[in-house]
Amino acid sequence: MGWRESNVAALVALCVLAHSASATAESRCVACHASLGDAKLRDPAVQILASVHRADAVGCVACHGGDAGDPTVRAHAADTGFVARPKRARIPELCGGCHGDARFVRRFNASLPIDQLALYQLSRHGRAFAAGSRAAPVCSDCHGTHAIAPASAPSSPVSAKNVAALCGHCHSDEETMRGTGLPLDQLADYRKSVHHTALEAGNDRAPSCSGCHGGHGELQVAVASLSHVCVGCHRDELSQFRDSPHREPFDRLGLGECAPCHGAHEVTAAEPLLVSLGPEGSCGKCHGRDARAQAAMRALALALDTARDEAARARARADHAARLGLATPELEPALTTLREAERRLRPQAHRIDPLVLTEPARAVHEAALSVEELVTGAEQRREGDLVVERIVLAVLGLCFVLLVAKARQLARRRRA
Amino acid sequence: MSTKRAGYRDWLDDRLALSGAVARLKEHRVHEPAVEIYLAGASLVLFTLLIGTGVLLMMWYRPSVQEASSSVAWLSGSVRFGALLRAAHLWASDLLVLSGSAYAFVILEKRRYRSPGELHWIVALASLALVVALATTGSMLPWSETARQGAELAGSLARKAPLLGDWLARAMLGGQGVTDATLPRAFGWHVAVLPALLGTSIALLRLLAPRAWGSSGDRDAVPLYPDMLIRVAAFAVASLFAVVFLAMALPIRDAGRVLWYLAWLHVLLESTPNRMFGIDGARFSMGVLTALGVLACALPFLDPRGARWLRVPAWIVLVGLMVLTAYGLA
Repeated sequence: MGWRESNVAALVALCVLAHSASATAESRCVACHASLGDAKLRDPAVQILASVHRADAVGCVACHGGDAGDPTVRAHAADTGFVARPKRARIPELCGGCHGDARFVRRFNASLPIDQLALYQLSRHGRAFAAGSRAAPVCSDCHGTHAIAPASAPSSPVSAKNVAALCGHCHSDEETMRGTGLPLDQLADYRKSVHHTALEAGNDRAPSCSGCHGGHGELQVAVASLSHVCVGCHRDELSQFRDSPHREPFDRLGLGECAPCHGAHEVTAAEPLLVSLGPEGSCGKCHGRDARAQAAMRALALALDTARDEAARARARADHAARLGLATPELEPALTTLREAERRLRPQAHRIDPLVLTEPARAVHEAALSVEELVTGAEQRREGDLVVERIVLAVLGLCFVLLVAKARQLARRRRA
Repeated sequence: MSTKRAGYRDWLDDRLALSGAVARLKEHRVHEPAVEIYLAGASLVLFTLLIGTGVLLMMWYRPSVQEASSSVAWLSGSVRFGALLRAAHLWASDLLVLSGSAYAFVILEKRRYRSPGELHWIVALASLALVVALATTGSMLPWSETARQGAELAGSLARKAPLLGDWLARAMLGGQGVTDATLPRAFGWHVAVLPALLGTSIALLRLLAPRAWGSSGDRDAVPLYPDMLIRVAAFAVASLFAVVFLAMALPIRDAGRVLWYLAWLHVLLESTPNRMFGIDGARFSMGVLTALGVLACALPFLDPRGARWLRVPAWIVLVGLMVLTAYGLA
């Protein structure tokens, strides 16, 4: 440290000391540490000010012990219970000590759950940790240490958009995952999924790892029970599937319900492509070249294709009309009806019965037609208006020319 | 036939004394280029167009928080020529802000604020302020997100004004901030109070203008009637053409418009330091600007002879405002 930095540090320390008479006990730790030159001692004090555990609310002594009432170095004496670095083995209990105490937690956040420690101890992570695994994560591995942000903050490693990268950091690492028997490609698969695409596109309800596996009570989802997770969002789809001819053979063969067609982490978009006997589809895996299945698949794919194309065309025309300022107030309700019709159609495809699709496909067709009729009406009105507007423009132009000619004539006369 | 027409003319002349007014206009001659006269004609036509389109818009617009946005969408999407009507109203208001500003600048640049143009200059500045206030209150009426943001911006600027700042913001917004009370308040100002004041000030300008513009005894100068009147009419028709053309080519989206004419002020206040001379920086800047406004109104009495050197700062201010506006919009 140069003399200038030493002087600055001393000045800061003097200010801090002067201020410490009125400072709260907790902010004394921060006030002193923030003025230190050693980054290892200074940075935690700076980071905690921006964290949910900021000094005034929870404070340093909650984790490190010590005497926050003592503004001198004696605050760190061994008899005060001070611990410079809490032992890793104690971290779940240390965090759970506060986060499992409803009375304490409710002082800061009434909606924060208090069962994180109990769930963690039930999870594979918690059990592996209890069994002595050094690779098993503890609270601070995911949430950080001093700069802990709320899970809803975009900067938090456990926020919806960041959590996949956080989990994937360990779950894609061969060394960390050795002996667990788990595949290393889950993150890569998830990033190909429709869930990831939707999340990246701003859909906050699209799941990431914790959306299906849970946050603290993370459990390995068995293929047979996967549908119990999917049903959280896809109730109608599962209900239709259970009325379909697939249910009995899937049950008999122990295939589960959703994963055989949709996959687990790499959940593909529910496009009509999925319903095909080709290499890209799911049906061929079991049905091979079966002629009856082929006919049913073609009929299903045709109904879904047609509905998708009609809806897409109607939406494109509505968007185009809106860009031209032609959106009528009736258009928005018509587009909502179209979205609802599409939403009802997709679950029906799980019945694997083309006849069942007839009615919802017709609803999509009629809703799309209604949108297009509104757009056509608006376009025709606009065309009619444009003719009149051009005439008005031409008349104004003509008046201008005549007035300019008259002005020039008057000027000529005056000069003459 | 001609006897019959002459009969009508005499009948009207007996009652309106038109021949006397025309004779006075013929005697009144002005030197070219009489830019201020063209701008006055265009402003008058734009104001008339704004009154006409505004009255028509009121037939569909509903000034309530629940219905304002949907009534504007209904007008733009479903009413015959509704989109054109709305776009013409907005473009005409933009052009009126421009022509009003240009009129004030030309008066300043030609030093027409000198005797006997003192009152004319003050009323012209007041009219420009009224035009800006009308455009600002009008931009709130669609009650879209952009409109509410505009109201927030206008309120925050007004609040920084010295002495009357809080009162001005409350009078404009109907409360301390933008609330449900803001829309009916803006509607009241926009359709009743401000148009009445602007109409009165334009009538005053019409009375004061001929003397302020000055008359020339030179035979080469152009008589106001019919030569100048025809030219002004051509310029006014060109303004109408511009409004209709812009309304057709650039229709207004439901989101509304940004307050481009306040962009320079916003940039100026944003770039002001937080504290200046011990007071809030933005308040200080608004205080300085208000003082400059008062000085501008008092200019005819501070500079009764019209110093030539004032033209240079006038051009600097104009270019500065244009640069700040462009920066603010960018």
